[in-house]
Amino acid sequence: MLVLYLILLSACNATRIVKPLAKKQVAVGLDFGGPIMDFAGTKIPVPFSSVTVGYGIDSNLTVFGGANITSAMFGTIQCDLGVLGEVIRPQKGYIPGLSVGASSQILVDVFEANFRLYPVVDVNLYWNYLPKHEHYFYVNWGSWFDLWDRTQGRANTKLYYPSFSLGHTFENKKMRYTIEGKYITPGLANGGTPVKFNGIDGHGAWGVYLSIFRKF
Amino acid sequence: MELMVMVLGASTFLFLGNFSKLIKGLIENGLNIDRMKKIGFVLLFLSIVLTGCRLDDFLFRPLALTEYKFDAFEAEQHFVLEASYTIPENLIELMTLESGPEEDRETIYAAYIGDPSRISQDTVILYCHGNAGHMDYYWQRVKLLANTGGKNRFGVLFMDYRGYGKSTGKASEAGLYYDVDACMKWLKAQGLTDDRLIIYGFSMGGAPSTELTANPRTLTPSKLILEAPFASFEFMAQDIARVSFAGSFYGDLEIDNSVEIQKVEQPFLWIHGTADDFVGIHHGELVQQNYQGTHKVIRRVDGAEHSTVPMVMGFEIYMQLMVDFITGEI
Repeated sequence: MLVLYLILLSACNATRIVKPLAKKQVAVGLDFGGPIMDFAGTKIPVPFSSVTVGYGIDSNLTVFGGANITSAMFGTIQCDLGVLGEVIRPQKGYIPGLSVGASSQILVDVFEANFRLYPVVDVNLYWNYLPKHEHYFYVNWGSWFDLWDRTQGRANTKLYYPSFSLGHTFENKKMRYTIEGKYITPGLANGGTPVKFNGIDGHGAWGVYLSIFRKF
Repeated sequence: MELMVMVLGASTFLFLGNFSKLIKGLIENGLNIDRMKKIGFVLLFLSIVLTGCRLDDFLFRPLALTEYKFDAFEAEQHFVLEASYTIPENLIELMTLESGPEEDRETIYAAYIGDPSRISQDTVILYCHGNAGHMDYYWQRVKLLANTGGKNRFGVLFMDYRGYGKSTGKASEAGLYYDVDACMKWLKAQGLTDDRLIIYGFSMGGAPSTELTANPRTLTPSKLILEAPFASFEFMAQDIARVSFAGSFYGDLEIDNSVEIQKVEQPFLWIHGTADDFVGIHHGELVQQNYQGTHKVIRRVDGAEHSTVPMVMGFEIYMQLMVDFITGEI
């Protein structure tokens, strides 16, 4: 039954990269976690896992790519490629940094070569709250767009899937450690299927994620 | 699950142990052929290991057991019928059947409720149970059918698919069809003809019921009853994922009741609870909308959940619906 839970909202990834990397810096990371589900009488996050690689083209522009390990285990290559630009640098005081990311989630299964591509847009605000430290809080507004028809030729009436995240990153010269909470697809009823998500009043799903990045 | 943990562990180890070194080395020393080979090997290894399994095997939820208990079964059930529904022991025949072609043959358990010597004259309901459990979990439902229209008016045959209950083997989509067809072979050998066979599928059991009505093998059911069917594997995948994922992203199952039903011309009864929180009623709606035949009976049962349709309807009303449909009253 657990594996049924792996058929999930793919907006279930952790936010890939919130704050741009330094110029010519490479970061490689793993993240774990997913929407919280009922399982065996308790609540656990879906055991998603993915690997992400980012590269700082400039101090305010990072390209990144990620691959979902869990999907690959079941024969589906799920990866994303994107770019993140810093629009506003964090200021002293309470003025946050602002970054905007644009990426594509790409899925191809190795058995029937079915293909899907979903555009994703992320808007992030982040606060470096300690002088001389790189740690930061962030909030993320993620937007998934599903422009594909549904099975049986049904019209797709749900094109937009938002998510909202609150996270914190502990960062030093070599590492980034992030914990993130996410609320996925508020307003979308989560019942009527064998998978029982935990959202608000039967809508959406809460998610919890951990990620570790090594910078080079 | 163990495989998942192993693969996750292996990939994490490879990633942390080697990949970071490779990346670091690449950055510090530039690309060279040896390193490219190492990366290629790691990626190839990961590709082979990571794409080695599918969800199909995990989607079936069989429970094995050592002995069928039927009325003595004590596990929690959605309803237990009162004593007046009891079936005399001499009218319960537990049997084994050989199922499937030689290269995929298994021994399945089935039970016939009624007098087998009368199959050549009786109308028989072939009941295909749902995904969870084994025959003991569906015994109360089968007893209802065996009491429909009066005690043992209709014969009822049900079976544990391969991997379920005491049936040998591993559950599979092809296995569902083999196993239900094995029951049809037995019924045919007892003298049953197409016109007296009613097939009834509950939940996952809707798949073999619809498939073997649309694409008959040994017998052609004269009527089809589906209770809380799901539309298709891909429909379910998209229902859960909420986005337009292809079913093949998760498995090789080709179950598609909503397409197969289009080939069914026999009278069709669809029952579904409006409060079904497991297989939403929209699944059944698509199936019934796609039915192209001329005789369709629909019952949306207000307030009923996935497994409580007979209880919420009321047993007498449920049984009356069955007998009316089977006898052509409705």
